[in-house]
Amino acid sequence: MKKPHKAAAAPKAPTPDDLLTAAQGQIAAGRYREAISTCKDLLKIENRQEWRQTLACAYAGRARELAAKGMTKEALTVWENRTQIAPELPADLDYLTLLLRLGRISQAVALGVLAGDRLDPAALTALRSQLAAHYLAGKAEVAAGLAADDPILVQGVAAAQALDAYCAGDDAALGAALAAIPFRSPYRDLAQILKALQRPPAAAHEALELLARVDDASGFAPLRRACESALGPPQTLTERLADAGEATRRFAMTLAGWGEQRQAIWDEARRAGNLEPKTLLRLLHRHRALLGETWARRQGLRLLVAGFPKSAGWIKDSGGPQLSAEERLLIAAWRAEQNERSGNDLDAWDAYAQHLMKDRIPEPGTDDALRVALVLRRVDSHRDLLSHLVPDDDPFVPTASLAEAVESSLQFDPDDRDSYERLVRFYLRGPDLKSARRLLDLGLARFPADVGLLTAAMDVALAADAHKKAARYAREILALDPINTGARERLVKSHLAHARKQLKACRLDLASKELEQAAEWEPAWDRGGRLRERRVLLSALLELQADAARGASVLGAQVQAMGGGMAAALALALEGAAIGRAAAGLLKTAGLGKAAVADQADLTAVLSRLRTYLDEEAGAELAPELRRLFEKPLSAAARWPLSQPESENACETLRRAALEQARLAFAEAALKRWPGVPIFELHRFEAGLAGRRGNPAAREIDRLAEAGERARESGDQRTAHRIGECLAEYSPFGHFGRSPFFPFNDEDEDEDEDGMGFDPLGGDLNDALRAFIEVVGVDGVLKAAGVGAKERSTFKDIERQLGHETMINVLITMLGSQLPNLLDGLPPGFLPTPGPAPKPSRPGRKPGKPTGRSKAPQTPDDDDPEQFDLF
Amino acid sequence: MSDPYLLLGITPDADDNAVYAAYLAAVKACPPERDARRFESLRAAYEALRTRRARLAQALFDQTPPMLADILDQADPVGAPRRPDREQFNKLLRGEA
Repeated sequence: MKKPHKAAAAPKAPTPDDLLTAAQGQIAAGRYREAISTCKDLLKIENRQEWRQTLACAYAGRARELAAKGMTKEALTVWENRTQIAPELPADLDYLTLLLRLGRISQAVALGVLAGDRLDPAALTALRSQLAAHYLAGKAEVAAGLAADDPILVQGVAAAQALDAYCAGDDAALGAALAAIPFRSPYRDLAQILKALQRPPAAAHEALELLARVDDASGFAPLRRACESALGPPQTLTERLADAGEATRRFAMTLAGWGEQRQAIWDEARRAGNLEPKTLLRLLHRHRALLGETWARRQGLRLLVAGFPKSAGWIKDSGGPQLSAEERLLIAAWRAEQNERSGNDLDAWDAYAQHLMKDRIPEPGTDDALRVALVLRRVDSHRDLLSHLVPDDDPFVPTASLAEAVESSLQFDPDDRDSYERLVRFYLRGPDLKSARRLLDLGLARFPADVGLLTAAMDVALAADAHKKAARYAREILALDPINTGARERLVKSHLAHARKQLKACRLDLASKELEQAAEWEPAWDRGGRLRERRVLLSALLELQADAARGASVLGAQVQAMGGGMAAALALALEGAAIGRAAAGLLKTAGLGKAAVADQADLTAVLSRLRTYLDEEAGAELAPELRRLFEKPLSAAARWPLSQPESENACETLRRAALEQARLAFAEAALKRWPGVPIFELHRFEAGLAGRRGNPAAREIDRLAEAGERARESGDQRTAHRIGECLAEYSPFGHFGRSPFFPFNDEDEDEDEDGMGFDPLGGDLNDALRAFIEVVGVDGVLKAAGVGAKERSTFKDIERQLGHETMINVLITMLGSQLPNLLDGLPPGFLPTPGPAPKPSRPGRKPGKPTGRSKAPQTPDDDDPEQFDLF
Repeated sequence: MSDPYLLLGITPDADDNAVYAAYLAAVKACPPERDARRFESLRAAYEALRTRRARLAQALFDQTPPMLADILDQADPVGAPRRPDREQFNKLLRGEA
């Protein structure tokens, strides 16, 4: 038998002190309902006055809580409970305020009078201002409960006069009435508010300061809040009124200058609950008479663009008529323009232009014609395409259609000068000189004295080697604009170029004339006399051609005047090459056969001259003969102590000139002075590889990779990017060009790829390659491409991480660039005839043209002497 | 506000002179030193409407969807501050929000 458990001890009943402490804590914590319950338990023990007052306090808290939630009736009941439980306490101001708000004016006045002096002074002042506000609003019950001489009644007359005067715009009467309201009046807050409203709009801050003096408990506080909303910044008025009630909103909007119609439309939008296009479309349609039919319709069309063509039905849903054909075309063009990547904008605007001309071709000069012209040239003016595109060079932009559209626009708006020049420059870039001339003729016929068009005409003439014509245009330009330094320089260069042409053709008299004219136009500002220097050298070469002995003497004197160093030798060699003379022979004739870089100044001068040549002959490298002549002496000049920026510039110039040995010498010299500097590591790496067969050693690659890391850490993103590009060529994926896991970002390429599915080679070829890889296997393809075992192992790791399908996509991407090489090694019948062309190069990059960094071997010139013969 | 006509307070049939006069008046009323942002808006509106060609282009190519403020301004532009009437005062004096 089990032992009976010992009975559990009964819970100890709380003592009155415990209950009182708990109730006070609950009140302090705002837990009024619990406090009320606790106090009731306390009063069951004994009906003590101080405990009833604690309950009254809890009731007051709960009543305020309910009133704040808008539960006014419930709040009133709780206040009444408070009055019953502690009748000895004066009525609370919040209770009286609630009574007034609920229209129980008489009760409020009676309780207020009863409370009288037992209210604290602030509460009494607030109560009297509330009674005053209600009295002023016409509540007669207030007067009935007050003594006849109460200031609320006595001063209420002046307050009402002041208010009426303000509403009527009678400022004199307002001033007089306000003067009759004493400082300690229950209408003092009203006086402050009316004074604030008298301030001019520019002094809004002064008005707001006056309003800030009105207390929140005042009977005039709602009026103050409405005024504050109205006087704030106009652009945020509606935000300030978002939670305001009807009375406050109407008052503030009226005060802020909003008319009835404006307020009504705003209210309508607010009730709709959102400002989405459909809501605005409904507003536009409903108020179209007020807004103007045309305006409302046009704005409605703009609301449809983002969702077009699905949104086409919205306008009918809102009550308006369906879209017309013209409206549909216009919205479609807007939509195409916003989605430039679609490439539909040209067609879309063309369709709209055709529609505008559907019924009749507009007469030039009319608004209709101008509209057609603007639409036809819209794609160019919006995307600024003709300023940089080359005819038929960008497969993503139909340049011919674009140029045709702009040219067509001139039929309707022949006064648009810019279109002529844009088209001429565009065709000149081709070069399509025939089209450029056609546009020039049209433009110059209309604007014969336009410097821009004349300059374009000069450039067209120079491009066609029509130097006489170019000189004529240059003269016209200088006649219109005598300080046009660009035209003067072009003119001199044009004469020099023409002189070279004549010298090459052995027409010495004509060459001499050209040189005379070049001298005539030589600009006074000519920096370092470079143009003059070239002219004098050409003159000496002319002498040499006419009389070898005399010419040699003149030439020798001239190069000595130029310092007789390497800079002079380079200047002479460049001029000689331009007229087809072998540089080596010329240098010997001029006594520069054994020239070397004389000093640091000579080195600076020769690099500067080389840079100028490369800048002027954009994209050109130094001729192979000149490279052989100058490579060794320039390499030897690397010993001169240049500053770090000078060394960087030197390496960069030598890279552009493809003087790789000299570049290597300068990079190594710089690395001795500034070990590990990333840019010199890059130059050393690239120049060291030039002309060498096979891949660089792994330690060389590691050294460059470390330099790239240092560049990135030091914030030199440009060098880091260049090193990354260089390393990509020697990565495990180097056989296919750039690695798909290349760590350096290339924003341009990312942009190109955006929104495109995986289809790097075009559908058919893609499928064929996929099938080929499936059959041969990833490893088989890599072997076929000559990838080594170690690198193939890397591919296998990647395949394990990314999956077989992704690996195939990676291979297809990489194979794209090496397809011709691979195809050579494949058995016949493996691949179909390629359909679509692979992804083309970016705009501006001419396919097949070697870049300045190209390592393609140059055709050797067997006739050129070795440099050792000369230096 | 995005509509340049509303910004300058002119009608769509305004010519070059009217546009220029409206721009000058607007800049005079709100010089750049007082409100640089508004001045920029006025300047942009003026550039958009300065010539006949620009006005036609604005009508053809402006795709900016209207905002509620545009509709309100077109319907009933904000005027000078007005004095509320006595009844509007009374509502607030009675404690209405």
